[in-house]
Amino acid sequence: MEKKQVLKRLYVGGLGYTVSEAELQERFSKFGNVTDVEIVIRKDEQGNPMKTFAYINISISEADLKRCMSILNKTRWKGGTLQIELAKESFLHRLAQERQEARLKKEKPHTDGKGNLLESLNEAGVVNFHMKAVPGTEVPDHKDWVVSKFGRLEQDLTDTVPISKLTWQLEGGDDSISKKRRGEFPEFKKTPKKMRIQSSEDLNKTPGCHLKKENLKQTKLVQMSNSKSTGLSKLLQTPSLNRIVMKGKELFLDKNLAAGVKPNRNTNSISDSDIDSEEEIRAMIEKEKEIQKAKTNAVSESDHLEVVGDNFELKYNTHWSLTNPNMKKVSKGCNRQGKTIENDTDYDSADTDEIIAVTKTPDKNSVKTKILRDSELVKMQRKDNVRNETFKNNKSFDSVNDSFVLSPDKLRDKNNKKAVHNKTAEVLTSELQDNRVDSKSGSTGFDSELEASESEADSDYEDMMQNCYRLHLTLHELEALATASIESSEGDTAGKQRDSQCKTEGNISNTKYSTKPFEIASTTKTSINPEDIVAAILEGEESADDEKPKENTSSLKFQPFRGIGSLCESENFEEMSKEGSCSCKRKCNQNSSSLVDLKNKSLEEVSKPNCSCHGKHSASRESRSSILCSLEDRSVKKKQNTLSNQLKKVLNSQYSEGGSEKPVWKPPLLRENNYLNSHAEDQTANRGDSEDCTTTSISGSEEESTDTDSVLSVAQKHIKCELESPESLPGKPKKDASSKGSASKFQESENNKKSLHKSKEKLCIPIAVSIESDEKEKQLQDNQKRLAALQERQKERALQKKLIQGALLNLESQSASKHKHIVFDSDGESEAEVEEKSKEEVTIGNLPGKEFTSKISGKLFESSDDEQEAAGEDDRFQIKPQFEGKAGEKLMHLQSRFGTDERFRMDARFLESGSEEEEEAKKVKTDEEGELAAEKKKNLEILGSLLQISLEHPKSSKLATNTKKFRDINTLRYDPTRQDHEVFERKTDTTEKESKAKRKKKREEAEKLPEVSKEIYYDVAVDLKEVFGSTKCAAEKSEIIPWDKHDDMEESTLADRHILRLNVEGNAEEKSSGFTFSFFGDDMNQSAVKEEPYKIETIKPARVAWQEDPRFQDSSSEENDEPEDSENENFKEMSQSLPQMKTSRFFFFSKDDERLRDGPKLFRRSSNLNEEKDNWENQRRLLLEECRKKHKDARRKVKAKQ
Amino acid sequence: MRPLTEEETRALFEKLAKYIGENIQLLVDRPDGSYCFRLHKDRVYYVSERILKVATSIPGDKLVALGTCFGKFTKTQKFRLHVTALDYLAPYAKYKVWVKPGAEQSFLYGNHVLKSGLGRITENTAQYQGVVVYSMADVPLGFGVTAKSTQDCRKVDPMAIVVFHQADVGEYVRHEETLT
Repeated sequence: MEKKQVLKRLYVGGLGYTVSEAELQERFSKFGNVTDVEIVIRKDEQGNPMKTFAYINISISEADLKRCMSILNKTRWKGGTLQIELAKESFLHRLAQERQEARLKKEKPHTDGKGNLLESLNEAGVVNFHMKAVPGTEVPDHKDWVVSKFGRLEQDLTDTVPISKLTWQLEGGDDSISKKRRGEFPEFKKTPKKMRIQSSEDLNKTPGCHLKKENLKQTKLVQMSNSKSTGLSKLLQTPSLNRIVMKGKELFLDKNLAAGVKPNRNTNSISDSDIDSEEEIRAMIEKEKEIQKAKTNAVSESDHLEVVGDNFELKYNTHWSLTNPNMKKVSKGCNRQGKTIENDTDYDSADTDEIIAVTKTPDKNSVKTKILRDSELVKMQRKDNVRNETFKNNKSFDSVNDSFVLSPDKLRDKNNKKAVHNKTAEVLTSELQDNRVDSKSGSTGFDSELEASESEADSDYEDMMQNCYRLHLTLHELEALATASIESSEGDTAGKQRDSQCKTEGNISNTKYSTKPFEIASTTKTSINPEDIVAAILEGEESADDEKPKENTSSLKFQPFRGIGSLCESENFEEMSKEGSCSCKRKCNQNSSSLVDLKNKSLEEVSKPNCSCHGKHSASRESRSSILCSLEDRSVKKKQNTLSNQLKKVLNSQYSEGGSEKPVWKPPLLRENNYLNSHAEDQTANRGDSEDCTTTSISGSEEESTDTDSVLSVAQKHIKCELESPESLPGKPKKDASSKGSASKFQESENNKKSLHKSKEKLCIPIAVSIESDEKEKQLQDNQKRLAALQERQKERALQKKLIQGALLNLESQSASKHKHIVFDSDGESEAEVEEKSKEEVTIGNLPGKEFTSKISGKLFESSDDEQEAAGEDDRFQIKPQFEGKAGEKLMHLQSRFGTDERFRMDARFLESGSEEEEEAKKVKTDEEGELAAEKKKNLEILGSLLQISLEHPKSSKLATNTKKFRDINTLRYDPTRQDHEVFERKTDTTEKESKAKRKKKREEAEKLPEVSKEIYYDVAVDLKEVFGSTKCAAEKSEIIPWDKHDDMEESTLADRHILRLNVEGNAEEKSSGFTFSFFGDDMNQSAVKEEPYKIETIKPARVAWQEDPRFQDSSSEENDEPEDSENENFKEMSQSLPQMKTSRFFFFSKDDERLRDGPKLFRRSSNLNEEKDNWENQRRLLLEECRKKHKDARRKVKAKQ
Repeated sequence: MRPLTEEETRALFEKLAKYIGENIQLLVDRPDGSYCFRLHKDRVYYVSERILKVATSIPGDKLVALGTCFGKFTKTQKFRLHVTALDYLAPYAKYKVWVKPGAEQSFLYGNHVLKSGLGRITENTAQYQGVVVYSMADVPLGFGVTAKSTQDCRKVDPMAIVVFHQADVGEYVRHEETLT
């Protein structure tokens, strides 16, 4: 809060009446300067004090006021509860103030008036109110006054922000246009500007031209070096940091023999570079922001609706599906993803923190970045030297630069030292930030590096620079990591530590892929195309280029881990392409394995494939192998070391901090350990995959598997050690030293397994010897851990062996199916490992011989053991025949009570017959089960009916019930109260109805047919002359016949009988009758014919609904009984005359006998149509009603029952 | 506590079928033990046989709940699904809807899912089809009924309701006292 003290008037209520002014003053003087205290005491009419309060004038700051309020308000003091409020100013004060203000107002115009104003106006360029100044310029010495459009002065009341700053406060998005509007231009636009200052030929080059970029860059470098060289003269004046820088530059200049030194531009160039770096930082930050935003946007903007298929697989699985091993895998993958994401977020937060810090201390950063860039140049120089075999010079340069004596032999040492120097020179916090920035730019640079596919001699130089830059970064950052952890241990928050951790991870990645390109560059020398350089320059230095695809950089920047994988992969491919094609396959395998390893960062496996790759490499070209090997090994080592370093550092800090800090530090440590664990697991998982494609022999692969196991245990061991060792950490290095010999031994034994590996490891060993003590310690620690894990394994194996042997004493070995027991074995192993974990003890001792106990044999023995045991157990626990069953069980129970004494042995005689109870219990049980089963069945039935699907399982049960019920139905009557019968309700109903109807019909037909024939007979007898009618009728009948037939199936026998008769008798008559109608009474006939189909049609649907035989229904009137009877007689009569008719009219009837059968019926109907119709309709109505009623009743009953 | 009548079973299955279709038979006829539905205080519980046996020893009026509550029958004998059934139905859901992280909370407060909050939907989802609502991280959030078919969802404006809220896991907090 502001420190400004304001005069306030406070009301203090709830005072005791004994309070004095002095006391109040004393009490409130803590918060501010009390100028006046006024106590008011209210008294009632008797003069007793009712209420006491006070006004206090106090000059108090806002913060203090708040404090005062919070402290004193509602506290008890001298018998009252204080109540403090802000009071109005006292009348006197206000009066005084008002008067003062009035006076001031009066004075102001006079004092502030023309004299000063004119002067300042003149200064601003306004002479006699004639406009000379540009509108908008400020009038000097007068705040808020500007020259207006017409030359007048206007007070800028709208905004207190000075005009000059307005442009910087433009609101807008983070897109390039709005940034430009704000005056923030991408970096690459600045460089040509600077070039102009430096006066080179590149002046006229357009900034956007990418093709020229390379040249620009080169010239810039030259310029920078020039400036630095001139800076040499100013060496003494510049601050120490700059001095180092300049030295580097100068040397660089000397080495390169660059021309065109411009001494007079000296200071300018320095400042330029400062600005440059500042702008660089800003641009970088902005780009980062952009990327972040783009990321979030990408998330939010992806609101297009996604439609997925039915087989869409969920990432998350609920409990049932989790049992699926595949799902587990998926979830595991998810976890991994989550982990990386977590890392990302860490990274992001770190970035934002850093951004804040950067914005806070831009100057320092600019200096720092400058230094870094300079050192980058230095590195490039060194690189150059490496290439040109001018190693010594470089070293001397280094020594000069850092004023340190460096060990000339090892590049690594040198680099480390240098990093150390840089570190010491810089402030720690800013250093962290710098490193961050550097790593970013480095990663971008590397990204561009990835694009390299072709080679160009000219650009090699640039490439070298890039590589060097990266190398420097990595070393630098390693150091930074160390210092950071120390620093953070010295009193920063846990968050910061986390920050550094995530940074270390990033650094690790950087080291990985920065050292590699180094190697590549040194080996191949020419492998970069102009595009690459342009990209490198743009991204590394300016990083705000809009044209660059942002996804690549973003992914790299924000996802260190994923980035590593991909980067390493590509790196490996590059390597492969370079190293040759003779052993492509193998390399591929190795690369893939190395990729896996890199991802997992397993301590041991990392070194192996790389080394093996390298071994080939060295074999191919021996001249440079030593350097390369050292580099390569170093990279691997470094990686390992960094990992261990990290943990170590954390632990160290923990140790140094003591107990109070421990809880803070533990979580990250644990997390780290978990991280390692998970990596080890992943590795094992991946191992299995990679094993398939390795061309090595089976034994080799077995060895590999053992290796992976050991790796796993190493990781576990590692964690254990770390967890255990906070106290014993200082003692550790000694242990390591002692176990160094054994470590190397172990390495060698490992090497024996793989020839390639061996050679590599050997290469590693001398290097390991030669490195500095701390490096050694780290490595040794790693080795020791490995060793410890191995020994653990051996121990475990020995234990297993013992067990097996013990088991073997009794049993003979059987070689059974191995596959099964491999599973068992692995299970046992994992269990053993768990045990190992729980033990948490570190055993150091070399037992190399036992390592080679073959797994298979162990498995064999184990398996045999298991089998034998199982067999024995089977024998032992075989239920004796007399004890079988419930009764037997009881008997056994009885027997067990009396021991083994033969005299008291209980036999079956003593067994009481409790079988009934048991049976009952069983029954109850089975009943319950049956109930449940029935319920289930029922449910499934309902389900089936509901979903209209065929459920296979329930179907069978359904059928069973159906068959049962069919029997019931046949025997018993339908029971509507029973729900089970409901399914068959309709069916039974219909059958019953049908049968009824049929019966009726049968009867009716039996009666009806004679009647019909009789009636017809009379008619027909009259008109039996012509043949034409029959054909006409035939057309009609043919349609109906199949229909009739269809319905009549069941009563075919009866019908046939009738029909046979009809056939004979009716044919002649009916045909002729039809004929008579058509010929003699045209009008009548037609009406009859018309009515006929009409009638049939109306009735038919009803019949169908009732499922009755239409024809029988037709004549189903009871009144027809008599005539039918008579007709029967007629039929008989007619049957006698049948043969004659047939023979005579053979031409017509032979074909269409069936038609003729139906003819009489049709004819009959038409004959007494009206009567029958009426009858029928009446009848029908009645029947319908009756039927409906019955139906309804039945339905109601069923419903009620339900 | 009693077994469901046929009518009740029908109502229950009709409701469940809206969400998991014929997969109900996997609930009824489970390979890992026999499970059944029991009605207790108008609530339908999905109970394993083992628990059922244990629960028989507790008097009905003292028994609060058993197994997993799938829902309850309203006074009009309609079945209402509870969110407690989600664990059992989600794995078998035929139609799924994923809501965006922004709309997650809204849904978990009992609101319908708007088009703007719809992240993903199973194709060929019909209108008024019961769906299981997932978050984009594939965590089941609750039940819903589609207000629009998949095809309509594409066209509809962002503020239109696409999924009617039925139950959500927020009810574990909001209706803690009634969920058993």
